[in-house]
Amino acid sequence: MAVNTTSRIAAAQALEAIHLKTQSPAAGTVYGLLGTSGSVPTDAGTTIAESGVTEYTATGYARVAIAWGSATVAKPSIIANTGTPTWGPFTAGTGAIIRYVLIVTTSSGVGNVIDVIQVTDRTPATGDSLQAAVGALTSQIA
Amino acid sequence: MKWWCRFQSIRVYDAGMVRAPKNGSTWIYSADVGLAARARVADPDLSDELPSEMAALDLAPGTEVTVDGYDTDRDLVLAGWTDSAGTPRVTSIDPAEFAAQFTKAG
Repeated sequence: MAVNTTSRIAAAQALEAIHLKTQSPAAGTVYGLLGTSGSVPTDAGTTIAESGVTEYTATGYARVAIAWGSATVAKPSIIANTGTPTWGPFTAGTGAIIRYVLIVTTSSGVGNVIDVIQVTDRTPATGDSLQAAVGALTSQIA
Repeated sequence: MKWWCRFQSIRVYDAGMVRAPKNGSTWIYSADVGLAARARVADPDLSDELPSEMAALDLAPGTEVTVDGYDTDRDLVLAGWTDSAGTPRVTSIDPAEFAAQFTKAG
């Protein structure tokens, strides 16, 4: 199971929502961004830039929508992906090692980070697609 | 008689420029082989064909795609489609390749 680091903004939003201080963000779509930076971000900042993670750039790559199941009623509560999010196929510019999946709020460009999920290193070859199995991406608030 | 000219911004088009397809437009991938398979064959560093598990995830000939947007950072068309397993996908495609390999649907 992939290890996650919840972003500062996500943790703050969660606490304020459950304590009825602010309205939770409206339900919507979040996206999986593939990250290639060599170091593990231990404190995911608010924005993609602040998190210090370099986004994968191969032709064929685009952020994909991530669907989530219900969080478990447990401590810690865990949420996991449903479906099989699939990136690619990558047709040029491969070679970088994919180390993370960032859960972000935008389908491209700048955006906020919800989570950084470390995954097993992958180096896709030309023509490859990268797919996460059901339940492979999990998140809990640390 | 007074002569006056109003200069508007002048846009120079390079003959080699390819315009991005319109957002929301639908297209059919019309090449003979899948997008990934074509790229695999074209890569001089690889000598093998696309593995079967990757072929199953390929954008196959005849697939309908919808233009979801344009990645201005990388100058790539963002095409949404559904693969053979029913999984919704988004793939970025070079505009020149898009113009060459996709035909307008309908």
